[in-house]
Amino acid sequence: MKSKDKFAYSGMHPVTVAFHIMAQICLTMFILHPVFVAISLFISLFLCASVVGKKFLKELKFYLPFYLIVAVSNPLFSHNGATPMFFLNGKPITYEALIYGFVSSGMFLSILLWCRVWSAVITDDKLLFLLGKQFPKIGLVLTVTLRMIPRFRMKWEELREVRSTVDDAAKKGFVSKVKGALRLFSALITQAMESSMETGMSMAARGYGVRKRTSVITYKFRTGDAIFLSLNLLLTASIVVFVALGAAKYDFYPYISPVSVGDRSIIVFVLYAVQSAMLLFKEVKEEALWNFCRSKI
Amino acid sequence: MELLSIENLKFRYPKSENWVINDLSLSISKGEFVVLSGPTGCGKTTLFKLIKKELSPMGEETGKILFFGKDKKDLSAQESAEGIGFVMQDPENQIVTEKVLRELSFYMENLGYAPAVIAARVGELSNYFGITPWIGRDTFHLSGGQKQLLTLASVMTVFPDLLILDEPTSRLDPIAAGEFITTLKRINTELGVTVLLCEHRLEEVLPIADKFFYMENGAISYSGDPRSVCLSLAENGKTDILPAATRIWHGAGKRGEAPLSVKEGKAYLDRYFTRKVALCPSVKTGKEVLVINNVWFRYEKEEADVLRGADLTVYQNEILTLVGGNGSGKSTVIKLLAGIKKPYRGKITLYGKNLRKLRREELYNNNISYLPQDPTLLFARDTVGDELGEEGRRFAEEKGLKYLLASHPHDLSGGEMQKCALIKLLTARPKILLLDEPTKGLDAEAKKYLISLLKELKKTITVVIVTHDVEFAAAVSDRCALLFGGEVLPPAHPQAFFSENYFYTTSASRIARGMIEGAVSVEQIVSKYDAES
Repeated sequence: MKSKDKFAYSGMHPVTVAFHIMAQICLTMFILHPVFVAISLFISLFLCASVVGKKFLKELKFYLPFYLIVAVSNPLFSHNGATPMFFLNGKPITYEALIYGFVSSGMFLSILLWCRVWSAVITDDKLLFLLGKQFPKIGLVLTVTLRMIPRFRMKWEELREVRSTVDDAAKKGFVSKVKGALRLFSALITQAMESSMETGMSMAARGYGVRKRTSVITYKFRTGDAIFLSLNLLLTASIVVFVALGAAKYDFYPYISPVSVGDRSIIVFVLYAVQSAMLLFKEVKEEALWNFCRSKI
Repeated sequence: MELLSIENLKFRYPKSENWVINDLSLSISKGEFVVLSGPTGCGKTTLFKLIKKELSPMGEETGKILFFGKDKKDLSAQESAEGIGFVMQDPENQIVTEKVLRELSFYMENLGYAPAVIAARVGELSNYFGITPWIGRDTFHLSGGQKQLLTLASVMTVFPDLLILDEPTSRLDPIAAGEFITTLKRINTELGVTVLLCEHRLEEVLPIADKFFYMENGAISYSGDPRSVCLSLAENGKTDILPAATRIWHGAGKRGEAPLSVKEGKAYLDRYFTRKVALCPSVKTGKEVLVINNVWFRYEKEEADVLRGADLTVYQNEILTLVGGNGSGKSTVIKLLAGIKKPYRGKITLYGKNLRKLRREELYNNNISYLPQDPTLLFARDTVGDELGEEGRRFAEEKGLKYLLASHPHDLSGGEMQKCALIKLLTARPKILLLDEPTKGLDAEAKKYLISLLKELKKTITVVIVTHDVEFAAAVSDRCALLFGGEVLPPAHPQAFFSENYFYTTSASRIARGMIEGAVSVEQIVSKYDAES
């Protein structure tokens, strides 16, 4: 069985990994440029597949429709742009709005995927390690919330099953179905609140926040971390500078601007690609190293 | 030395008229093993939470709680956190971290212990509690018994002076529960930790307890050493809650000293009974209602099978009970019968029709009613009354539950919830009732009522129950079956079933063995008592 611990990140200091993913999420969020978005999206896809494993294929079933729906809904609501493709109810559906939809939806999706990577790599105890000392209250809230997610999913499933056997079974029609679903949702929230309250109490009972936390697992900040982190800082800083200078300027309306690969742009693209793929590189390297080491056993 | 003393404690929740804790006093000495019991809703959990400062609910509180002679309010956060360990009912919600190892170090990390101390103590304790084989695992995948053991071990890492446990075994199967109690006794005798335990199942804990408190309406009504408390409870007609041995003594002559444990009960039978056989009636079968035929089931593609070629037939107007360990697939079987999970292989039929092909309305309108393990799932509306509907409200009023109708479902105690859930199910006028752990959170009296209710219902409907509660199973069922290895072993009459079993059996059956062959309940033993001998 492939365990999460085998991956490169478990050997890295949580601060290094956390900073990298945070930086990547911020960059993705603020640069709306097709090339940047494409880089971020593809790399996050690969990374997710490697970190989450087979389960990710299942999750894609949710992510892909999400991508398409967000993408296609933009031209339906936004009628900016100079090139109408056809008219719907007398409103123009424009080429520019369609492209904008695909790019912005790509941005949303890659942010989601980076968050997915975060949740797979920054395990609860790493989060406690990062926050527990300085910010025990935030640490508590986050831990409780994060533990809620898998249980939330299970409870939802259970609740839906049980509700399907009681009075809702008889009801038909759209309105009562929506009502039923809303009721289900509010019941789910109440359930989740109850159980996280208990988790919080169990933490408080065991003295959480009484003193400055120690940690039995001490993550060592090694040379590798120093190199990774400084490279990361350098790349992020230079990308920010380039972007501030207008390297990522891109217009969708009224006309799509052409993607220039001129001298300055190509440098930023490469920098951005390296920055995004740092974890992936590290992963591939560790995988190769592991295989090499194992061949000697 | 006095460890904990409570003087004239009164407590009520905000905006509430009645006192949940009403003039309660008690005292516990260092090193004692104390058991507290009482009917549901008597205020046990509130009392426990009031003792531990961090968990104390908001409300009006008067009186004194002294820990080592120091008022609760004057304890520092560190003193309270380190001095009193607390284990709650539900192991699911108490575990905070992802890995077993981290959970064990969590308490000590919070209190700022040095990493070297933590590592050494975790190593030591995981051996003591037998956790070492699974210390590297994810907490999410542990069994219920393992989870509760982990919670206990995690609390024990700081060696609290007082260990409070609120019904810690209520979610465990009888064997896991027994192991848990044994571990508690070890902690008490070997490490000298004072234990304050709340339990409904007194069979196993009373023989090892030093002190027994019985609580009613927010105050301690009986206290003292277990034997004398049992005697006064018996005198006052509260026999239902007593251990089987004491009940036999009470019903059969009251000779000599009242026995508490199985061992003492056996001695009592040897001395005052003659060898007899309690005949086991033959099992009647009727029309086939539900049939499971070679059913295979697993929850996820990649996971192991829960059921491997299970077969079972349920007959009309019978009560069939399934028992088995945590994770043996009991709840799975009942979910399959309810039609909310589908087998990947094999067939389930309802009155000869394939369950898979029936529509939802056909299945659940006046046909199948299902009580999930967590009955709050049935309540999605804001008040209990809303959820019950008009007929249910009337029924609840008849049963003296009117005071609950305006409450939010989550504010009900376990026992109250269980009752309301049953009312809700019955208003749907089912032909088949499927119950998953119906006695969870019920006290002796409520359990007795449930048994008579189910026996009454049986005349018109068919009932399938899964339960940990062997005493309940022996009293209520027409047939019992054990789930093991993904299969349902052939069902048998409870008397045959429990007198064959050594571990999955009632205390009464253990006591009767060798003397009254085939008897599995106190009543059966008592009926064979012969005053002359």
